[in-house]
Amino acid sequence: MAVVKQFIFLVAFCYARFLYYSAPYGMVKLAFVDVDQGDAIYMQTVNGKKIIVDGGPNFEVDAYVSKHFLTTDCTIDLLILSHPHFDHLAGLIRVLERCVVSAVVYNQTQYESKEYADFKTAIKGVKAIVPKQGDLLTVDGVVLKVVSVGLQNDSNLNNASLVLLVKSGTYEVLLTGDLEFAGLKEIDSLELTKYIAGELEVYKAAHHGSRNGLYMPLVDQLDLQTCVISLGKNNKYGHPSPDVINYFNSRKCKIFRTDLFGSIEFLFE
Amino acid sequence: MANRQLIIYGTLTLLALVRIVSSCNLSTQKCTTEAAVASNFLRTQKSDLEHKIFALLPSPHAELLVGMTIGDDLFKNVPIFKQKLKDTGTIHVVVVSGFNISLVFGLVIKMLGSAYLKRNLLFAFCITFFYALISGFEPPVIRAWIMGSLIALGKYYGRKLPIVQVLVFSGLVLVLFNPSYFFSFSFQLSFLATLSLILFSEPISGALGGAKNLLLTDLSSTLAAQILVWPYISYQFKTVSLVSPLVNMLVLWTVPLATVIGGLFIFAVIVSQSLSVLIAPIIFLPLDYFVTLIDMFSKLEFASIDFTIRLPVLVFYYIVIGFVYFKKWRL
Repeated sequence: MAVVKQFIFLVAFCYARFLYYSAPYGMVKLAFVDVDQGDAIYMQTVNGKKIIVDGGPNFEVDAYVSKHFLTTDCTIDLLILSHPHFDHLAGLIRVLERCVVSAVVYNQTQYESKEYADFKTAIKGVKAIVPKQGDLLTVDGVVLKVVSVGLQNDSNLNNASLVLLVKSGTYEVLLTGDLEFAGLKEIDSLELTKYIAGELEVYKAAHHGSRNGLYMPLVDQLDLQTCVISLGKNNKYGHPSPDVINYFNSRKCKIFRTDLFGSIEFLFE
Repeated sequence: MANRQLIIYGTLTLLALVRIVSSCNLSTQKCTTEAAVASNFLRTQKSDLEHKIFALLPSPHAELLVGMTIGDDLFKNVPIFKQKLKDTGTIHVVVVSGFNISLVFGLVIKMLGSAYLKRNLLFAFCITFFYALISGFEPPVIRAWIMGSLIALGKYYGRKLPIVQVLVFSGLVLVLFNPSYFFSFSFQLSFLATLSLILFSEPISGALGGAKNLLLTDLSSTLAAQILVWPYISYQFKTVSLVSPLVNMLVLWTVPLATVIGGLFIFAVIVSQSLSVLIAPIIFLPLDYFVTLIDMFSKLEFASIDFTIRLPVLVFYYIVIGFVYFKKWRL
């Protein structure tokens, strides 16, 4: 029957898609997902464990994650929220409602919003980890160091962002959330550089490449190689700031922007 | 055309024009009568259902399914993917359209047996009307319902109705009923696409060597529908999708499959949790093929280009096409 042949074709096609999107064997994949104006980072370890940091303001992160599974099931090993602003949160709620999540990491910032309330409802029953500065979260050989838990008492929620240094072998990725000057100032750059072996392979520009996310005393100390800016096309905030672009160019840091390139993927040994 | 028909169409057109001019502001294109059909009850039922679907299927597969079957537009959930649909010229797939109506109509008739029993037809009319209502009562769907019903009635009475007239008639009736439809993009595009399909399906199919297989049939339908549609999209949206014919040819065959299995899946979601879990990976397959192809083709630089046709050029194009059509295929 024609329908049976069609389904055989579809199964084969689906499998091919799955093979294409899964990381090559033995490599770690780290992706800055294009979620329009927002942040969402996806990581897949050597043995297929999955980590998500922030979920963007829509369900695009779910679409991205689903490409790495053969069919409709979904398991996430670590789900991390940097801070409860909508443009980092909405997609996480979607993932939580569909996928089986093993553990959630968020710093329990005080904040009132419907989405944050929905998030807290969605994580009921999931093991919650409240990070402390210096903590190391390890998932299958990938280590996430909690560089900063942000300023919990700052009036600007962006400064409560969790900052993580992801390390896989000798590759490091610094995820800065939406941290602005006040929060960035508190990060001890000497401590940070001690933990980085050689170059910092990937630096995520804080706060979608805005000027207040660029704290020079900190970034000057980092040996930048690649700079990623996660933002939406024609966003209403004027991101990225030309100052940030100029700075990265002056540091010879290769710039990758999600508004121009879509999702940006890195593969590490 | 016979004098009697001329008078009927002339009167209807005049009435439609009067209706538009009297209830609409031509510069803002806003009219005073808006059809708001979905009641609150329907809304909550739909969102309960959607919640359950979203727990079983990932985005954007869930949004696609919901759009194709129950007509809700949830694509603001996936703005990047929505843009990819526009770039590849496949966004028309994700709405409930005349195709769905004919599918449901055909299924009901098949299940009841004969297409020539009056009560079977009546039942099918009612079911499809109900479906049109549930899916939001959008202009393209109502138009398709009117057309489908008229043609089925015609068949019942043994008369083959001239389909262009049926299309024009249903268009006029719709505008008389609600003049704001005249300015609705979905109405305009579906009208143009249907007219284009009616006029150019056979010529294009012939030029491609006849309907040898499913892909070729879909390709000729896509090309036929595009003839009157692409310049209008260029005029209104200022873009042209260059990959549209190819992508449509490659994905259209999954739409009836996804709609029927999707319908079964939704039925399962309503009645049985365990059954819906079983069907989810099955409905996932055609949807995933669709999503993957759209993702792949939208990555091409030239998938969609910025190209605007100005109004005089648009009108000139239609006049030329009309002229060529009458000379070549109508004698």
